[in-house]
Amino acid sequence: MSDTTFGRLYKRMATPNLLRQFGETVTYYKRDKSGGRKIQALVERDIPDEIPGTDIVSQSMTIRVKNDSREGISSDEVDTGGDTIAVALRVGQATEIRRIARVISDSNGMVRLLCH
Amino acid sequence: MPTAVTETIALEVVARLQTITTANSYNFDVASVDRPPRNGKQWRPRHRGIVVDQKPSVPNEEQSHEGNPPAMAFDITYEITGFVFLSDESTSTSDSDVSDMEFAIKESLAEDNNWHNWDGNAVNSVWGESSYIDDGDYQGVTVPLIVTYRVSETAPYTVRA
Repeated sequence: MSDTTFGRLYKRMATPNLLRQFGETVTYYKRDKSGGRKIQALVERDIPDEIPGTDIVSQSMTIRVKNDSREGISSDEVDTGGDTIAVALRVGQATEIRRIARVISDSNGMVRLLCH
Repeated sequence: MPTAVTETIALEVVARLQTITTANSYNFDVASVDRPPRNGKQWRPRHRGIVVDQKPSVPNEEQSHEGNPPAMAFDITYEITGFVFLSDESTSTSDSDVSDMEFAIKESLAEDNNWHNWDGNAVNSVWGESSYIDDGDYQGVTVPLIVTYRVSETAPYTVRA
């Protein structure tokens, strides 16, 4: 795993503070439906858009979590072939299951995931 | 008010797709058959899930008839998309699952010799050109089903198949 001085500092100091101040609780499920891990996440809710290759609309969102297999989701455990996250489409609404479609980035102690 | 013929056919399409199960001798159980709402709420793409997306009707003058009132024919396309998601750890190609999905969709809809008239609600049905989805994040196949139906010009809820 590549590790820079900035990355170590960011992971140790910025990541926990960001999650503490701006995070919300989501639940991570593995492909085989096991897990049910409640974690803190930074959720950016995007506008509904078409799934690539189709005319089917779905609301995508970008979710950032700690790169950690206990307090977040580690980049080497996530499986875009079936892992899901329970998250509210709008703040205050009940959570819905969303598919983890892509690992956007995994640097500096945080994993950024595209969910549909 | 009765149900529009395009909705009647859509509901039958969904019902036939839901018969894709191993109990019915298919190679897999369909995870879900959905007609997603406007903004995708309460819906997500699933492995071996199918989505039915209805397109606007297009006039078909060849199949229209004169009369009093005339019988107006239209072509409507139902785009049927089946998703396939293999694990990140898989070293297999998704092509075999995609092919299985495509043929299961066609097999389930063309259930018998009269499948094309949807219980008397349509004149004919044909398959459009399938297209594959493969952009890295999504794999699957879209199978267009083109249905020709005929309705009375002055009473569109009245089928004139």
